[in-house]
Amino acid sequence: MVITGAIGLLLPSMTENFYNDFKNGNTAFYYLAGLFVAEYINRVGYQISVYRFVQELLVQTRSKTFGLWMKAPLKVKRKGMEDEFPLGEVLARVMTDSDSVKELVTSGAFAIVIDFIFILSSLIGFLRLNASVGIGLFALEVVACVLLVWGSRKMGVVFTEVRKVTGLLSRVVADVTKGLRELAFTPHAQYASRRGDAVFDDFLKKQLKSNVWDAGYYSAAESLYPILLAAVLVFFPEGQMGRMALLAVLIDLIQKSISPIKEVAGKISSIQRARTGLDRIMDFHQHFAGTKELHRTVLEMKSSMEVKVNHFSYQRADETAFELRDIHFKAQTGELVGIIGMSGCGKSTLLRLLSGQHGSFSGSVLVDGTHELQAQNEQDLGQLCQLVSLVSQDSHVFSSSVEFNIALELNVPGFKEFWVNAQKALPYLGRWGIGPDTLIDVKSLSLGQKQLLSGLRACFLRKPIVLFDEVSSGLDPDLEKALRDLVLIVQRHSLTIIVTHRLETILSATKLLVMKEGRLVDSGVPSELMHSSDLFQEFIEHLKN
Amino acid sequence: MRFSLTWLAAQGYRDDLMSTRLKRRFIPWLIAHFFEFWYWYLGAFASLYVLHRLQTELPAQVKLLTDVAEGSGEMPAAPVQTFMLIALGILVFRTLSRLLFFTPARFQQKILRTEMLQEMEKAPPARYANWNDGQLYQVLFNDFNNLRAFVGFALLQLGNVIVAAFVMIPRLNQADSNLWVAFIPMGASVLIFSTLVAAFQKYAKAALDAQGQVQNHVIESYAAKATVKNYHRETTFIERFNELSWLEMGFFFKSSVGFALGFPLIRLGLGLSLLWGALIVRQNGGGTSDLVFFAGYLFLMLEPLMFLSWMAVVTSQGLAAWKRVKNLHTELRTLNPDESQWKSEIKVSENAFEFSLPYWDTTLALRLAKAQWFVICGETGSGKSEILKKMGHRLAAREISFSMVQQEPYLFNDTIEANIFLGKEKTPQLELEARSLLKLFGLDLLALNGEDILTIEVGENGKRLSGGQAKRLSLVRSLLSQAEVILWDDPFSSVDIVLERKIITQLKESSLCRGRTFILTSHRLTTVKMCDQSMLLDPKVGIKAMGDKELKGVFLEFFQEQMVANPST
Repeated sequence: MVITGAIGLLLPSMTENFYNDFKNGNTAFYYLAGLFVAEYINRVGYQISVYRFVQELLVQTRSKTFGLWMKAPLKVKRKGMEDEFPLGEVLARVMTDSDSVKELVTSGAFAIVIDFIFILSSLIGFLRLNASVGIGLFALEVVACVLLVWGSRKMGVVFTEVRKVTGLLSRVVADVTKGLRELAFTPHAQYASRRGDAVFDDFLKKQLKSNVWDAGYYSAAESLYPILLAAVLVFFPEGQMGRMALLAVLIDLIQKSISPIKEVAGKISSIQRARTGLDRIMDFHQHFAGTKELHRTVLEMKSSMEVKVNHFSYQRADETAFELRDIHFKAQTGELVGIIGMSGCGKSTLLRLLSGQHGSFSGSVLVDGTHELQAQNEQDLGQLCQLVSLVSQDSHVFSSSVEFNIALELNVPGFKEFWVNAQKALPYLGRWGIGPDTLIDVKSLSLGQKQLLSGLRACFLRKPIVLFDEVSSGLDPDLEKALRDLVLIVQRHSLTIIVTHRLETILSATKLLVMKEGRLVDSGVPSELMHSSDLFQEFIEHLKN
Repeated sequence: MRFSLTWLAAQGYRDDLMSTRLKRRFIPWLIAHFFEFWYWYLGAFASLYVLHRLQTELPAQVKLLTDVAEGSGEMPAAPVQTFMLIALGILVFRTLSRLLFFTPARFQQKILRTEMLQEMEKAPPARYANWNDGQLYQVLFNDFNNLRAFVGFALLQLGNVIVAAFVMIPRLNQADSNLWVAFIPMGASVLIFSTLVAAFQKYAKAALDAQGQVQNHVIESYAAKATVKNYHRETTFIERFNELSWLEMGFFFKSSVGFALGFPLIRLGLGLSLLWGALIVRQNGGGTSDLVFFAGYLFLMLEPLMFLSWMAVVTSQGLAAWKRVKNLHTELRTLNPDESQWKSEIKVSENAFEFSLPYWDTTLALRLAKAQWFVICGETGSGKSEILKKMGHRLAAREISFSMVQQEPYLFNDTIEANIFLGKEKTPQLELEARSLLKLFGLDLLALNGEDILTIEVGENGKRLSGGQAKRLSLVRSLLSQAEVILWDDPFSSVDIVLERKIITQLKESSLCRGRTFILTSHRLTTVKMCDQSMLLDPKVGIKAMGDKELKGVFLEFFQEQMVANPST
């Protein structure tokens, strides 16, 4: 920037020398050529360093935004644990808003400093060449700059309208295209094209309005040149008309200073746009400043837990109300607890309740006989979540490598060994043909394969309590066996609770909970229940068929 | 103010071109566009011509002045006024030329969008089955924007360059034809700049791809946040985000280096051209005023040259957009081979529809009496919904008006009124019918504080309604559609048995449903008992049983088994 200033200051006097002497010798040529080259190098250096700076700034801003959001706890909502913001909002804050800063760079707005310095040094140049002309031109250019900036603010208002209507257009287009296939299946009176037409009209109207501003604005900037020339004539003292070179330099300087003036205005508007983006990011950061992370002291579970679900009710997808009531049981590490019952008895709900996915409920969980976690309390529920891992067909599988899916990070020490052991224990993995580095194509996975992957995850990232929601049907026998074996492996070091429909699993359980209509009707070891529970017998009969 | 077609017609819009524009090839389309809005373009070129005449006047005027200063010329009369007039002229004609170029392009954009949407709306979905929602959106939103930029901006600049050359070349030739050589550095710098920008374009593309990856990572992290938190792996995800961000910004930085190297080159080129010009002037024994004159020309040439490089970018984007638009448009208008097949799979007689539909390995031959209620039953996964959809395709192929409500219907982000009328005019009678149907389907409760139910906004894909309410609203929509055949996929799943009975009974009595054929799927015995005819599907055997209100044999057993397995139904 300092160099820019120096060059800007040198330029007028050197140009004057040049116009005076260009007929007499080459020195002026060399000087000026040198100056041009120096200016080029200086500008390139400046631009590149600015880009570097912005690159760093942008990555850091983004990462901070993403990090804050990622670390923020999920909120308990009606449908369970959910994020506070919809996905679109998170994407907009993390990506789109930070992009406005990038736009700032691509539009060259950072060069505005150079422009200002250049205008300033041109103005000083005017002053040094001739006081009266200098002051006149100085004043005029300043006025022009101010007017253009003022105009750009007016233009900003018009452009904001355009942005709004563009947003509307985008939403309507998205809405209408999504519904096209639906419209094809019902008679309608050109709903899509009529609705589209209305918004296209609105868009056209706003665009035309903004075009008038746009066209007028840049033309005004272009008409500056002859106006400044006229000004030179007005301000030029009669007696000095003979100073030929002076006139030439003035004209040259005017020409050179006009394009920065034109650009300043445009750049100011893109800086303003970027500012709104940054403001939104800052708001987002501010929002998280108040939230505390959930209790971080990790609770251990060594031996047992005692569950009391007193009451929980929720609305099912078909809008009927459903309740769970008075479900109490106790279990030890190393046990395999099976939950059985006809479909709709609430067993999957119970599982999701214990994993914290349904949010708070009336009841408690006593860990190791000493720590009582209240299920109405968000902090306590958070601690419960940390003890539990849920393996269901809804478990998230990443479109990433197998290793990442299981360990949730890459190059984890001990993973290779784990994989070798897993392959030995579950021959299905070999037949499936995946290795640690295989990329998972989520769409091509069957429900059972998804469950196997998330089960391996629970196995690798040991949690004291593992909840399985067994896939009920449509598995090939090999995969079914693999899943069953996996449960047995998990059982070795965790308390395993499983919702099951399979006879083999039921018989290998160390304890069974029999549910009906949201209540626990019987519990005990399978061999006892065989004699004591009618419902259990009925269920087994049902399975055998 | 609305830009009605009559208004547009006054601006040049030709109604006889309606829905023919997109059928043309690129160049004929462009030519047709010029002819359609010819007087805009006539005005535009005239303004450009005047503008450039005025602008080239500037160096000449400056030369006169410097001549005076050198003592070799006469002071022109009223020079200040001359300059001010030129300024005014530039202001007026520059503005005009831009507006006259931009406006017809905007009209064209609107017209094309509407035409495309009409075409999309008319075409059977099978014709655009290969296009997902995102791609359709891209055509309708982005591609038409790019085409507009091409027509409005690239052509303006092209006109600009042509007219500028047309006006400037003779004048400079007149002055000193030797000076042309001196433009070489400037021309070269613009060329290098354009080449640099083009060469670094690949990094810009890579940056965009990388940005897509970052975006995917955010989307995936969002979906997996609960899992990630469960295992305390937040840092892994933040690190991965950083990594991808750096990748994107790395490409971005590389792409900007091209710009950083190229852009200041233009000033350098300009400077060197000036020096070269000075040498030539000196050789020819010219004075300072000649040099000033030359410098003025350099300055004038700068802008059109600068825009050349952007023109290339806009043009290539415009062409790519046209290609996609054209592809979609052609597919929308091309008969899908399935369509003629479908046509042969349905027969319509005076009092029945006869279908022969592919079903798993067999073919279902079905005869459905008109103006009756027909219900399809079967296990979950037996393909009931598919059969319903297939019937829809066949009815559409025969152009029989039907209305289908799928398992999860789509609702538009609009009012209830718009969603059930779908653009139809709201007559008092229709409104009355709509209100009573909304009431019958238990939707009147949506209007909480005495607000008008029809004006309630349902939100994006009906997200302000529950799934059941959205479904029922779609049922009302199909009843109001005046379709001859109504296809309903599992319509009463969110309705209890009492309300279901009430709805069916009232519909059967109403004049609205008289003469209409209803085809539904269901898994409830109660529904079957309300319908005239029923069918039990089984993937292994096709039609396992047919029945009427009184079920017998396997059909009855099917429901009895179901009740044991799931007593709540």
